[in-house]
Amino acid sequence: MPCTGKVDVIHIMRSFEKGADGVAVVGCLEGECHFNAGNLMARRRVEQAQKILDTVGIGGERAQMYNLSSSEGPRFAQYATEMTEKIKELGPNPIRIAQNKAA
Amino acid sequence: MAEAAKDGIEVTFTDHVLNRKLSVSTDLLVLSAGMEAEDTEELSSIVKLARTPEGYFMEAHVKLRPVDMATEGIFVCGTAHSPKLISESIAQAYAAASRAVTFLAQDHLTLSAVTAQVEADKCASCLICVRSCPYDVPKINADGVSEIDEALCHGCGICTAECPAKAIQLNWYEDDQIICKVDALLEGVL
Repeated sequence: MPCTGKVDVIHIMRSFEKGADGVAVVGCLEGECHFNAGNLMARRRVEQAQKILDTVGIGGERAQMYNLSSSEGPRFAQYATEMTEKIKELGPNPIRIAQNKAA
Repeated sequence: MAEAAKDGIEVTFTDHVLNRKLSVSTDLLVLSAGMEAEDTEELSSIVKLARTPEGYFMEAHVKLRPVDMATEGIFVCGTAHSPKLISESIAQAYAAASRAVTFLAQDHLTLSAVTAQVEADKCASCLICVRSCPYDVPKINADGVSEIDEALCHGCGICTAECPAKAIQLNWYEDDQIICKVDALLEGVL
């Protein structure tokens, strides 16, 4: 993606449909978007996706938006660990469980 | 260090080349006043130009592209770049002008292939792309549909994600392509 501003709700939803347990969208720091406001729009769309996920019973917490600058390796690792912990707590994606049962 | 002497002013300083202290008798001592960057914030936020922590405009690369800005087609010279003498400013201005000419002398411009394209049949002229574009590129044309000038599009993809009719696709990052990538990625892990 050229910018998180290009991330669409359908891209996030497709991942869950395919069985992903969580989706993290990582954009530039707020106020530092090369395209002015792409990361702010991405955050809005992740929030929109969270609402849909809550409604359909998958859980909005499985989609998260993070902001980083490219020099923050340790913080990226911290966010990745944080996300992994959160997903472990929530357990596997219900869609995948259903798919496995059907198969 | 400057001291009043019988016949003017005695200036003492360390010469780093000789590595020793030198004393010079002068009639007049003129200090070069410090220079501060001013009014660079607004311009840098409009055209997205990098600045140094002191507020001066920063070139794309000190050695490889010394008068180019990171933004295509913008060049820098003089005290907008850093405090410098008139002779240095003029030399840099020559360089900037030459770079601009190499740009203008071309018959054709090579543009990025990553630009947004509107599928006119799907466009409902809702103006969402017009409002969401950070560069005000999409315009409603004579046919009443959105049109994106490829030469002006920066290829960020914001309009493509915002478009409720999915009438805009970003070349090289089309939704089909991204969905295929998501599928391929997940097939590898799940």
